[in-house]
Amino acid sequence: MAYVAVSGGKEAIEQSLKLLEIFRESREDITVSGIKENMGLLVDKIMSEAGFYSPEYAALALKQCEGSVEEAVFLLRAYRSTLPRNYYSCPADTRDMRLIRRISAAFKDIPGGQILGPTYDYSHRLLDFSLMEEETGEKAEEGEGVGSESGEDIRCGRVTDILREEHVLEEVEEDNTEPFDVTSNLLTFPAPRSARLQTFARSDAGFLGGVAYSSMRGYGAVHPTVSELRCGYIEIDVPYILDEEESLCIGEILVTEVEALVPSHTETDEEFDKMSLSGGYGLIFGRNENKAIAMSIADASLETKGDTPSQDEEFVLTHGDCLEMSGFISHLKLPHYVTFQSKLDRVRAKEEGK
Amino acid sequence: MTKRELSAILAKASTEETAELAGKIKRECEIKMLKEPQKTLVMVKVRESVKNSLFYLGEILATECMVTVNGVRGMTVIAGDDFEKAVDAAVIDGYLNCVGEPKASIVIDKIRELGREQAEGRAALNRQLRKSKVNFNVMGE
Repeated sequence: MAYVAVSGGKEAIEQSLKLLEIFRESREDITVSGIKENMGLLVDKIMSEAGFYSPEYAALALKQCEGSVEEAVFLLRAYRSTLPRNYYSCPADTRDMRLIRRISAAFKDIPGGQILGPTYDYSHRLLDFSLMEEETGEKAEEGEGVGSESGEDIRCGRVTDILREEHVLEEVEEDNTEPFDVTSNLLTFPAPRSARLQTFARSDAGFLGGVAYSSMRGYGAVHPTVSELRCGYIEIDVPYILDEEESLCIGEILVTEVEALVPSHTETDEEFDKMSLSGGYGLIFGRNENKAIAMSIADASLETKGDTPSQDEEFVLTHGDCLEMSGFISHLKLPHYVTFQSKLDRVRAKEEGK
Repeated sequence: MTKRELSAILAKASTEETAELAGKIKRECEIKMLKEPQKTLVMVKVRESVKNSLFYLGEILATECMVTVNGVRGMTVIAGDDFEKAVDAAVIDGYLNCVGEPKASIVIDKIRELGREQAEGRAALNRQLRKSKVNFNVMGE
């Protein structure tokens, strides 16, 4: 059977697109700014997986595609590909982060203290039916007793500074190697660390969570302690092209960062005596703590040797991209008439030969 | 005040606030557009703290613009897609490159004041955040 070119379905496709608009229509419209302000964590997820920071455009993408994460990521990636990239930022240092949350699971007492900030960790998971009647502008008022607190921006040193001062963690010299860019270059293996981290930062949160979960459950060797989880704003600078001694701050972005500590594997007394600490790193756009923790575990896991999926660099780095995975799965909906027909012919021939 | 400090305040300012700062300059100086405001990507390079190496976190949508103010160049790159704000920020930059003291100080003082207002605007939230600081009670002490 030869391949046969077919056409058709143009009108059906046009009607399908029209139906999308009909299905997107609603009795109560939602504005882009409404999505941005009320669905912040979802907007953050879209920006993180698209690798493109623009809360407005992420909210617009969500509105356009009925809230589908993979479609919104697709829209942002497609749009981003139409823009020139005229600037690379100066290296941003998250140490200067303006914090909204900062905790440590490794130490109770940390310089600057543990600031819980906004978190669902301690909330009762009960549907709040009062929100059914919530009016616009009804927000929490400034609580009692906050008057005595300082209104200064919150900035703190790193928790790992304590360990470095004790020489428990080694001081690491600055590595100024130019990063690999996975958006412009084909990834080869073994991949540089910069490619790993960039890929993780863009990964599907669910995939990365699965990789980290598998590692902690025994399909891997990493079950870390979160030395520090911080969430806040970092300012981004670019060189000022009119004077190379100056720079411009283009604004600030919200990020979540995790430093995880991983003790070396010990089974024997000798290994126990030589126990050391290493680290895993996570940094992502927006507020998504589990993704940042998962990234730190995935990072640390690739530093260990073994045969589990989380230790397989090629597996982990090539199966977590939201756009690539949804695109590949989605392609199964396209016509496979010829390939399937040839398989069917073979099965039929086998049946006839019986 | 460095360019970095000035631009950090302007980046956080509203369209109206930058328009107010640039308004007088636009009325009194000759402004020419060298590069119309246009969207651009800024790739964010970060230093990670575990191995102290660099990697690319992702891209930010930004707007760039370049003008001359009385023949002196000024420019901006600012997050978002606010063309009006980008032009005004470039005009302010050009003006500060063009004029000497005391004219520059007048504008810089206004920007500094705007920075103080921005800090005050964040103070209420910062107080709420500090209120969520954990005070541990150690059992037995």
